[in-house]
Amino acid sequence: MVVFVSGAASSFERFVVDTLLGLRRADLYFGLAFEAAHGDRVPQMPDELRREIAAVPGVRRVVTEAYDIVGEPPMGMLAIDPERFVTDDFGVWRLDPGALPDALERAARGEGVIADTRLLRSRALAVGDRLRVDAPGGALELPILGAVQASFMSQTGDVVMSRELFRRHWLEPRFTHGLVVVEPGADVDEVRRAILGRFGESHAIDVLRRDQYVAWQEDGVRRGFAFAGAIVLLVLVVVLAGTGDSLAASVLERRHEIGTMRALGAAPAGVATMIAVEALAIGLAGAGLGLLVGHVVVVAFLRGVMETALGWSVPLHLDPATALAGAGVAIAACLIGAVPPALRAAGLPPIAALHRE
Amino acid sequence: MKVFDIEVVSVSKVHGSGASAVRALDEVSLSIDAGEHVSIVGPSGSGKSTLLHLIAALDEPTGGAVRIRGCDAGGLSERDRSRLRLESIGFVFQSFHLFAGLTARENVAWPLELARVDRETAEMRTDRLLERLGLAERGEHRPAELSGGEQQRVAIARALANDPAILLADEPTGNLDEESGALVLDLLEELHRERGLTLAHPGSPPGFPGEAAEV
Repeated sequence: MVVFVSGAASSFERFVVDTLLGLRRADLYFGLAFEAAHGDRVPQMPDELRREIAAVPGVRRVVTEAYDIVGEPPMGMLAIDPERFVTDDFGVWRLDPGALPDALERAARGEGVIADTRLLRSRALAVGDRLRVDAPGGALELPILGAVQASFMSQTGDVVMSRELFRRHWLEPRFTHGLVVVEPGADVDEVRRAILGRFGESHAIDVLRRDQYVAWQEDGVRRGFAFAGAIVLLVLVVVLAGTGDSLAASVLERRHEIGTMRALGAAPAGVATMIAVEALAIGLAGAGLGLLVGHVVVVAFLRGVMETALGWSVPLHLDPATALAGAGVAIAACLIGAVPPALRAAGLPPIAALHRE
Repeated sequence: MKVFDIEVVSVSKVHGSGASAVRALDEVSLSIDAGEHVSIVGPSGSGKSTLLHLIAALDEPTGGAVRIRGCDAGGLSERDRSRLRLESIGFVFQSFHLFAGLTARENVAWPLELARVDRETAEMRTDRLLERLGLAERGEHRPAELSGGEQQRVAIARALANDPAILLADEPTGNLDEESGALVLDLLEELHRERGLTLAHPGSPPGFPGEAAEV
């Protein structure tokens, strides 16, 4: 169970983070200090800021994104600079098979949107259909040009469109966050400090290096998986109680045998050690079996539930250190659970144990 | 001052407490010299087994002292009492108390493993004991596959594995038929003589071969 929960969680975490970062390859990321602290991400930064940051020494390129939740039922709307549809500088688009010809070029021109698989599934839409949405500038019917794996920007599914289209129909010239690529040879930290120094206070923005941004995204996903920790804890409690109960029953059943051992000269510590070794054996066998079965179940979950039911191709990511740590904790739980029965066995007076036949 | 192998000084033992308390022994004293063969005689329920258990340091007296080769068993820690049982006292139970999951050979070798005797010596001693007790062909059998007499012989071999100076046998024939019982008693007597064992057992064994030096 521990391997399954941690394996599914870490696979999903890696999948989400890779998906989120897949089209956001940059050296620095800037946003309202830093986005999460301001609740819902909404466009609040003026377009001039993009030009000002682009003028900072060491900055080679700046692109921006506007994000908002729109429509009813709600959906995530990610508006990106048109150039990002047609260059690989910030990541490579991996459209699902079946995209319309020139889908990315047409999206860059504002002729339609790229939708994620979750949105398509939830609204029973397909590539080539038209997405109806009410915008401040009037009702729209946007052709769906292609599909990508879930983008995980919103819970209900997202569409990606050109910022020009967004600006035109949602009347929103501001953006939510931006990506910076520095000049070759430029010191990323120095550029970061320069941007922060000039705009940090005035625009209440924070600037993260790539590693910091990855950590921030991972943290967000992990918070969503906080329940996994509770499940793991519950499993450990069950292991602890189960081992203790099973060994206590074993001690009771083997009172006579333990009494014989003691009568023949086994010291109390020796008897306690024997019970602890049994617990260790149970723990090792359970951990080994758990690693194996957990691995099989997590693969079945990713292939069966995630891929077949949700359409997400989540690669298996099983962190060996986490799996081994889980096994270690399970073994430790077995040993801790063995303490009361071991003490009980060690404390059995030999003659009393022998008399209970 | 003379040191006896076994010295029981004013020993009392009360089982239970309050109204249900049963006084099994009341101020019993005896001393047994090294190499003596002693029968502890008394009617059923007179505390013979209890006395043996106290001598074997399997139980603690309510009052008085039990000294094994000059050492007060009551003053020892549980660990040291275990060591005393392992090294100096062999105990044969009425109902054998063999480990059901182990073979006869493994049962005999068990106390040797506990005493950390090296493997070669342990195997040699085990073989010798099985041979001496007529079990050479039965070593690989588990207790359930042995007769009562054979099981008791395995138990005797196990009791002698660590070459103790004292052998205590609690009604060793109680669970055996007359013929097997007689064989076991013969064997105990022979072992007592061969090894110079201090042997004590309860009961007035009708037909116990060889005479107990003291009754």
